[in-house]
Amino acid sequence: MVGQDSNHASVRTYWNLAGILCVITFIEWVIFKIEDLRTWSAFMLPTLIALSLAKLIMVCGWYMHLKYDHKLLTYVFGFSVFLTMMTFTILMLALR
Amino acid sequence: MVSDHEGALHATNTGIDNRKFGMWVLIASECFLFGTLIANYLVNRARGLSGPKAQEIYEIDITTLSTFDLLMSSVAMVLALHGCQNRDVGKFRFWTGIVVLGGVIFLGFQYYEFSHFVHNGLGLTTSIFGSSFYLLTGCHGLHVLAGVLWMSTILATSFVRGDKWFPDVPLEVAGLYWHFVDVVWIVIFTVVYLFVYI
Repeated sequence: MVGQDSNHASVRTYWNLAGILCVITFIEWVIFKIEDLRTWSAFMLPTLIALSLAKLIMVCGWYMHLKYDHKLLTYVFGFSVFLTMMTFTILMLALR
Repeated sequence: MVSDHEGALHATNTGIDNRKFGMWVLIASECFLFGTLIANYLVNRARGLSGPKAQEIYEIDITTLSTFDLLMSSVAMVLALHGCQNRDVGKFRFWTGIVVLGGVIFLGFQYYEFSHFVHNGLGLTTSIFGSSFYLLTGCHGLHVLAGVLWMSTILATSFVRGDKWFPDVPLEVAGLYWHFVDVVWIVIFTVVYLFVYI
């Protein structure tokens, strides 16, 4: 990276993450395919949210280099995600 | 060796390249766009008075394949950047081409999905569910299309400017955009498709 530390992950790490991302997506698909689980929101909601969150952290942290970049970028992105979640929650509460 | 950033990098207070910081600000604003579109979808998905319901027409198998495809294109993106930063023009071009191919395949999946839905009676104006669905996924699809055009331009420029051209910062900025599009799809895949029975 130019003007930054170039201490990015190795190619091997990128491939390992790709494998994990595929496995998580496969698990999500399997969970969805089990008909008894589909409507069990107490299980589906936290499980699928946790799996998606894991994927988001991996993509943002390693592929988008937030783990290695200037912390200011993490704050900019984190703050926007926080504001988005607030806006999302308010919209859902107001319109539902 | 011609590196894109030579002579173009200015000192900044933060030490972060302005183009890269600008992309992060754009990504921050895009979060709001997709956040409101997803909220709009969730509010309206059960309000359709006519046409098929989500549970009746979604094809999770196809959508899972397109999710795999987009995730793999993200891997190709980091490998393209790695090749570029290590001055390996072959890897840089090969993986950039794979990114473009992954994006095109994703758009193909989306075209198939939209055609399938329209064929089954869910058009853009059929119901408020249909409108909010097409608005959200169509907006994401347009972002993918923009990414495909952007990456294609970088690839074409690489062939025009020769084997010594390595656009470190432009490729990294394009990569940030591409990964963000992937991140948005991860959320859409879960909230729109997997939560369909909840």
